[in-house]
This record gives sequence, C-alpha cells and structure tokens, in this order.
Amino acid sequence: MRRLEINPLVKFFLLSIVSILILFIIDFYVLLYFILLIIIINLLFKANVKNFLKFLLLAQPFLFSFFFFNSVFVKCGTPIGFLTFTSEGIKYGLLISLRAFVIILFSYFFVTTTNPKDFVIALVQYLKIPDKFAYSMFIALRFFPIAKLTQEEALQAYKQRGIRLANPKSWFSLFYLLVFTMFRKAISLAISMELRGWGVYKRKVYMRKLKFTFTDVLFILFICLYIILGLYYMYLIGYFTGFSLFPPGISC
Amino acid sequence: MSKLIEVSNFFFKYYGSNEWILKDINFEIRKGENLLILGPNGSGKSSLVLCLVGFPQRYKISKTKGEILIKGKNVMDYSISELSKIFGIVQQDPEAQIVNLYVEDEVAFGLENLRYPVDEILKRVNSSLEAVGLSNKRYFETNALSYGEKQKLMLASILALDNEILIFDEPTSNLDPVSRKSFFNLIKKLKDKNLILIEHNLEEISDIINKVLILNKDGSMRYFGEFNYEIFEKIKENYEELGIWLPYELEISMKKESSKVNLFYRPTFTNNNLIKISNITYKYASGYVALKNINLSFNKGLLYVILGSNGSGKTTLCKIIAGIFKPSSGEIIYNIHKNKIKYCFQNPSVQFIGKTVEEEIKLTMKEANKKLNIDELLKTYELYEYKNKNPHILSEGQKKILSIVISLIYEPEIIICDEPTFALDKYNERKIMKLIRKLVGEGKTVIITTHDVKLSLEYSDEVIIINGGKVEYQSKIEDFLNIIESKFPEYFYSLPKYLQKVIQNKNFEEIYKIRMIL
Repeated sequence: MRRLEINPLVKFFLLSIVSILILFIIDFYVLLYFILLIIIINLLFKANVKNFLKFLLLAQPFLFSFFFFNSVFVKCGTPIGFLTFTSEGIKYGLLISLRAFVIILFSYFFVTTTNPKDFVIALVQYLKIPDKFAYSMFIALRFFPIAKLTQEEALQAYKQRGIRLANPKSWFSLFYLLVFTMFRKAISLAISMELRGWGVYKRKVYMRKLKFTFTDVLFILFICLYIILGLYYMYLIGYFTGFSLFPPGISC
Repeated sequence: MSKLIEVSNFFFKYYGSNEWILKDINFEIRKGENLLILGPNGSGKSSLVLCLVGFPQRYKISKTKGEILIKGKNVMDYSISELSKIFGIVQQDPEAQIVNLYVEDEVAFGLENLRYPVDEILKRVNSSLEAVGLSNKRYFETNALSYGEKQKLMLASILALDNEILIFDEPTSNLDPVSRKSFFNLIKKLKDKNLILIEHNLEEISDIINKVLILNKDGSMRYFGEFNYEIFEKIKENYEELGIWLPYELEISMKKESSKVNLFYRPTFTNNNLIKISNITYKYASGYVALKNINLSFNKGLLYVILGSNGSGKTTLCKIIAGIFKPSSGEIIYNIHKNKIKYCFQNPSVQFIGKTVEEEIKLTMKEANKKLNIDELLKTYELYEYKNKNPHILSEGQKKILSIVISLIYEPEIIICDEPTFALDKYNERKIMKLIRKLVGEGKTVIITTHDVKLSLEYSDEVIIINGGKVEYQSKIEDFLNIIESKFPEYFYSLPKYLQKVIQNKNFEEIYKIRMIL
C-alpha cells in the first residue's frame, strides 16, 4: 500500500495548532484522546513501528525529568511519604509531561514523514519566505554531520593523547578547530553555489511544485472534526466555565 | 581558434598578506584546448582557478595586479549569472560542495537558481544523471552516496548547466582506484568542453590534455606550453623540490641516475608478534556492520599497507587496533602496552591543541612525561622554521609530519597512519613515506591505510586488502606481486603503466630496485 502523502504545510499547521491547543488542555482523557489521534495518524502514514518505539524509548528520560521537576515544584496537596511530593503535584507533573508527550509525538510524525526539501518549497511557495532563509536550513542539515564527525575525531585524538577534557584549553582548541574546519568548508560551498547561479535572481524556481490535493482537504477535515469532538467533550466537562493551568482539584 | 581565457601579468594575494601568492602569471587558452595545472602544495593552483572565475576579486578579499580576460572581456565585467553559464567547478571535497539533501535536487540546483523552465530542468536532470550513471539513485539522499558517487553527482550538477569551461580541482584525490578510473572515464567523454584540471594522475589524463602550466613553490610560473612528456625533461633537475608529479617511468629513471640513498629495509625480527586479532566484528550504533570476522596479526618492524575502497572499513579497523573503538565481538591480544600504539588521523588538525608548533610539542612532552630538545626535534623533521606558527595554518604535508612527530614523542611501538599521503604533492608524499620507512627501519611497526596501490609496491612489507568489512587478502608484498593482476585487476590497472609492465613481465627485481632508490 502506498504511503499517504500530505502537503507539508498542512502537517506544519497541524503541528502548530495542536502544540498551541495542547497547552490549554488540563484533562487527562482529552490528552489521551490526542495521543490516540497521533497513533491513528502514524498508522495512516505507515510509520516504522520499530523506529517509533526506539524514539519513544529515547524520549523517556526527557519526559521523566519533565514529570519529576513539575511534580516537585507544586507544593500544595497531601504529601506522600517522607518526600515533598504531593498527590496534586504528581497530577500536575503527569499533566505537563503528557502535554510534552503529545507535542513530541506530533513533531516525530512531522519530521519522519516530511521531505525537508518539500517543506522548504512549501515555505517559499505559500509563505513567500526568501530562498536564502530556506536554504540556510539545508546547509545546516548538510553541515551538522560534518561538524559532529570533526568533533568526535578531535575528542578521540585528545583522549589518545591523554588530554583531559576538563582542561579549558582542549575546549578552546576544539572550538577553534570546528570554526576553522567549517569556515574552510563554507568557502568551498560558497564557490560551488555561486558558480551554479545562487543569488543571481531574487526568487529561484523549483523543479517540484507543491499542490493542495483532495487528500489534503480530507486530512484537514478529519483533523478538524477530531479536534471539534475533543473541544465538545471539554465543553461538556465544564472546561470553558473557568480557566486554570492546573487540573481540577488543584487550587494553588 | 578564438581565445577563451587570457591571463596577463597576473599577481594575486589575500588582504593582509605581504607576499604575492601568484606572481606574474601569463597564459592563454583557446577553444578546444584542455589545460593541466601542476605545482607543489601551496603554489597557488587552486587560487589561480578561483581567480579565473573572479571569486576572490569579487568579494574584495584579495589584491590583484594584471588582467584576466574571459572571451576578450575582463572577468570582473561579467555578472555572476554570466560566469555561472561559462564556468563549472568540481573541487576536491564533495562533502563541502553538495548543498541539497537529495540527489535530483542537487542536479537541479543550478538550473533552478538560473530560472530555467521546469520542463527544461527535468530534461537536463535526467540527461545529466544518466551521463554519470546515477539515474538509479535519483531519489537517494545525498548523504547515502559513496565518496565517488558524490563526486559524480557534482559532475552531473555542472553538466546540467552545460558550461563551456569545466574546472576540476583535484577531484579524485580521495577516491579509491575504481571510483577514480570511473570518474576519469566520464571526464574523457566531455569532448565538447574546455577542461582545466589540477590533477597529479598524469597517466590517466595525458590523452586529453593539450596545454600545461607549471607553477613554482613561490607562485611564479615555471612553464606554460604544449603538453608532452618532453617538457618534464626540462624540469627534471629539481622536480622533487617542485613537488610536481612526473610520469612514473621518468621519475624512476632519474632516481636511478641520482639516488645514493638506500632505504630499502628487510626486517630481521618478523616473528615478534605484537598484536593478534581474532574474529573481530564492529557494529556502529546505527546498526551498520563495518567489520565482519577480522583475523589479522601484526609483527614488529614491518610496514603494513591496508588497501580498500572508500567505506570498506579501513579506518574503523585501525581505530580498533589503536583502542579508540571497542570491537562489538571478538578478541585482540596485545603483546605490548596499549599506550605504545599511536594513531595519526587522516585529518591531522583534529590532533592539535597548541597555539603554535612549539607549544604543541611542549604540551605533548608534558602529557608524555618526556624531556626533549624542541629545536633539535623540529630541525630533524624540517619543522623548525614553522616553530611559531599555528599548527592549523601549516600545509597539509607539514601537518601530517607534525602529527607523526607528536606520536613519536610517546615513543610508540606501533604507529597507525590513516591516509598519510592524502592530498599531498610528490615532494611531501615521498618525504612522509621516507620518514615512515625510516621508523620501520628503527624497529617500529607502522600500519598505513591508502587508496594508492603504488605506495604498497614501493614501500610495504605486507599488504592487507579489506573489502566490505572483510579481510580479502593478507600477505607479504612478494606474494602480492604474483597475484595482483589476476586477483585484484582493479588495483593492478590503477598502477602506473610502467609498473603494470614490470609485474606482467614478472620482473620483480625491478620492483626491488625501485624500492631501494625511492
């Protein structure tokens, strides 16, 4: 079965809307409802389950620290044991980490299903972002592995020489090396780009043209309907009658 | 034939520099002529080709005198748009030239910038990818390509623009023999283009070159004229200082006449085993298996040359031997202390930490707890005049020597050099290899990785061939000579024709003679 293809801008707006909306949700069921949405979306886009699980595993320490710190800093409620944790604090920590989890899941979906070139084309084509900004993203993506490799090799070399990394001198020389290496590569890149006409015209053309398809419309409708249902549920539980960043029951 | 390029009394230097990098350069290229630029490292070859396209002049980072005319018009009177339709360039490092994340986007990049109609872009992308044999990788990520394929991709991206003059600045210096051959075959097909090449594989390109420009170390012009082998006779007296690559046969015949040094060394302690590797496998975090079931042993006082294509696992193996990487499975038995193994990285800059060469040596002595006379040490390795210079701004050859000197301060028993001759001119290549041979003569074991099969014949005691993460061959050089043509034809045909003939005639005495005089 072919993987579902959606305009990257649609996905980007979905990510932005959900990320904003999620900040105002205090109900666990609504959060779980959004997690279900992202699972459905990942299934639709035939995400690689193994990679997805690996990613979830990697996200755990981040989520746990989110949970831990947010739990500790809410002091009200009944303390649990000798710790300063309170039942309300745990609820709050859980809420915040679930919010982060939803955003992480949506970001994973966006990153793994979007061709960066298509996203840049979408930004240029629909949002009229200048080519120069768009291409700086590509170059950053291209140069990051080179910088990483240089840094890794330098650290291996220092280790072999017995130079302690705690020594500020080693950090200074590493910084100098990275700047020097990247500068030399940037010159080569500038020559290569310029001789291929970079910057000759204010706007370049793109071989690929992005279009809004019927699938995009269906996808938007599906997401809107899903969000509206969620909002309706929130209305039913009385969410819109008052607003608090804390879940019901936490009043401090 | 109309003049394409005219360079008259041209001088060039970067702002802030007191010395001219290029001095009084004069030459002209007509339509249909292909130019080869020769010269040692630091002679200004790359600067010259950049000046031809007006790059340093345009950004006002340089000072120039004289004139460069392209089709009768000063290069500075051209717009970037016009120049990008005349010149295309493929530089040494493809990693630093690729802009895009996908193959087809890289080829389309120039056409998109110059606002070609989309239909035309698609047509040219198809034909360029087909010309370099990358059509089947059109939708691949550029990062997924091999080093050789990346260089072919750069060629495709300039072919798409249909430039009149193509500049190749040492495009094959980091390619393995197979990729290099394939790249040269592509260049040879470009019959309707004017080529400017900075390249030292003279045999590979001699049939497509008409003109040659030879630069001196100080950036002045030594020779410009028709390309033929007789011109090398004119410069043969001090070709070694010039650092230029002579045709192999000529170099050997001259060495036979002049050489009094015998560096050929047959080891006497070959049974003293230092390292034994059994069933080593190495898997990267990404899951990629770089080495599979490696079994090797290294003895005292030998020079081992590890050959293999790009990405075959040579560097990973060396890093495992040096203890930088830990094998995923298998065993290594060290009969020496691990600290007695030193690894010199392909990019020597990653090893430097001092602000000056002198400070670098001082820091190393402190780390190694050794006391040496710095001046004497630097004089021995011809680095004394660079004592107060930053190691990062030394030439590639000097950096490689400095990295070996740093390793030697630790008094290692095994030195591993990853591509020690990469991107070096003839002078520096010979200098480094003589140094390595000298260390072997003193009883040290040296392991080097290289793509240059010729080096293994000239200097090695044992040859190891790695392919796809597996050891395909390990034997003494004498045995390797017997089987190279039948078992490793890709390596055999990458040798200079002279050596091919010698091997085919089983005239191994000649190889021994070559080893003695180099």
